[in-house]
Formats: sequence, structure tokens, C-alpha cells
Amino acid sequence: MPNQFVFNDNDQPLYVDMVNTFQAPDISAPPEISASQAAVLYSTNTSASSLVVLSLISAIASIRISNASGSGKTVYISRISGSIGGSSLLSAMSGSFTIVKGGTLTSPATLTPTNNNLGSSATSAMTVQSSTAAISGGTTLFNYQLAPGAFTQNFTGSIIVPPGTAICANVTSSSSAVGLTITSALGLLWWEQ
Amino acid sequence: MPNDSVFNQSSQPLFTEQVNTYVAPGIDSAPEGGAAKAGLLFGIPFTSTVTTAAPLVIQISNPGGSGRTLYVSRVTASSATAAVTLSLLRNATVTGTTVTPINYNFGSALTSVMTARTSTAAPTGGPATLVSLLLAVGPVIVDFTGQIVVPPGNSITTSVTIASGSSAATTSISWWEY
Repeated sequence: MPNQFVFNDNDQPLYVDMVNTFQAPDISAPPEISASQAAVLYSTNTSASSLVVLSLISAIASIRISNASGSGKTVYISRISGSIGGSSLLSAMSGSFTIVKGGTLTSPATLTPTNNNLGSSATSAMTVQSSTAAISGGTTLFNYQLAPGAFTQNFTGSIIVPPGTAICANVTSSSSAVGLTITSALGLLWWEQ
Repeated sequence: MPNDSVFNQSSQPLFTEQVNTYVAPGIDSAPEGGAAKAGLLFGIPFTSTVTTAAPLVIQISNPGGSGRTLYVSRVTASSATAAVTLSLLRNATVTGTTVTPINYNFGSALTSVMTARTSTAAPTGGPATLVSLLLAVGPVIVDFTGQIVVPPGNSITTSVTIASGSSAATTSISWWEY
């Protein structure tokens, strides 16, 4: 008589019941740790400043990550951060932060993503651009009013940008306080697999 | 005589103790990561000016017999002034514009089976309140990660209200469904 299966059927995963407790907790970490060790975690940042001279003015920072068709890589968004600040009079400024599916940039400049594994020479397969104009087109995923300071939204891979698609983000700060210099800054973190 | 089970009984899960350390942590992720890979993570944003008479309302309604259950992932809101309130309501009545949920996997053709509406009229129907938060200027993110479950025939509503005056405001809700 053949042996029965020792555990579950051999076409099934092995069902396990973890018995760790608070005295011996399981140690786990988010996927970004593995991605950075594998040198596939990338950052990009941009900022824009404006001096308020006469009337209401804005400082606009936009970034687009475009995943070309046939790139062979998929982008998993880890985190998107936006911040606004000024030289003084922070109560006299306002800001907004937008994340858009698709979209395009006006007069874009090329950004070179930074590998979060500082010893790696691996480079991103994405086309990353910045602009000091607003995003054109696309479908808004998130929109926020900002207070002066930094704001981060973690996604941990829950926005996926496959080949042939793109994602844009934008931070805009505005003020009409004459003499105030306002700054908008924007950063994205993602892994490619 | 048949073999005994080597570890636990073969009808039971194998009891294991995870012995990873900080040097070699196990990698795990939130359910949203898997839901997005499956093309089943969706969201609706809404931006408007909130006034006392015109709140910002998003309702995600799971139709009876949809065959799927909704799990709330995240609710966000923001305001340009203080004294704005974010509320989450159970089974409110909302009449508004039907909107199409956005798939967070940009390459997925899957669509949500939920009925999503945005409105600037106050919800009715005497709904129960799940969450009520008074906001400062700026954004807030409330992660639920499945803590709110919406089976067929139920709905979840986010509402951004202001006691007096008006303010630029936003809200959004994201969820997975299966």
C-alpha cells in the first residue's frame, strides 16, 4: 500500500499555523527592503520655487513616470510625497497635491532616477520627467489640499504601472503675500520588477 | 501498520514558528498589494468646494446579488481651512452622479461591480456613523486595510462637511472587492 501524503496533498501548499507570540514575534519587513537589496528600488525628486512680486503666484512641481511598451518591467509605486513651504508667512500660502493615472507634462525635463541601493549601478527602465507646469489630461486618482509641511502617502505596491502606461504627480503652492518665496517639492519612490 | 504522521496530524495545519530576524526579515505586504496585482483594487476621488449646504459625498454601494464583497482599504480627505469634518456612514441614502471607479492596476481591464456615486447633497436615511474626524488644514489618510466589510446589499459613504463658511476640500475612498 502506498504511503498517504505526509502533509497536505502534494498539489496543495503546505498549510501552516504560525505559533509566534509576543515573546517571540515574527520578524517581517515590507517589500521595499527586498527591492532595495535587489537594487530595483528607485527615487526621483523635483522642486520649484517662486517669488511673489505683485499678486497671486504659484510654484508648480510635476513628475511623470512613463513605462514604455515592451519595457519588460512593471512599476510598483511605493510612496509619493509632496511638500510646500515658504520663506515666511506660512499662513499666507496654500497648496494642493494631485496623483494622476496617465497624463502628460508640458515642456518636460529629464530626471535620472536614483537607485536606493547606493552601491548599485543598476538604472531604471522608466522614462522619468519633471515640469514646472500642471499635468495635462489623465484621470485623477488623488487630490489633496496641503498645509505647509510634508505629506506622504504610502502605497507599498498598490498602484501598478505596467508597460504602456504612466503615472503623474503634482504639487502646487500658491501665495499672494508680496516678498514671500514659496516652494513646492515632490518625490516618488517605486520598485521595478 | 500505516505510518504515523511525521509532524502534526495530516488533517491539521503544520504548526510553525517563524524564526526570521532583523538580519533576514520575512517579506510581507498589505492585502492591497495582492489586490492591485489581481486588478481588484479600486478608488474614487472627489474634489469640490464644501459649504454648509453642499458637503462632499462619495458612496460606494454593493448591489444585492453582486457576488462580491467590498473591503475598505483607505479613506482620505483634505481641506484648505480648519473645522471641516470627515464622516464615514453605514448604509446611507445618496442620490448623485454615477462615477466609474479607477482600477489601481493601470494595465487591468477589470471593472468594479460596485455602484459609485459622488454628490454635494447631504446623505439621508438616518445612517449609522462609523468614523467622525475633525480636520485641520491639510490632508489626512485613514487606513482601514479591510476593517470595514461591505457585503452585497450594503453601502459605505464618506462625507466631508463644514459647519459654516466654505473651503476647498477633497475626499477619496479605495477598496478591494472579490
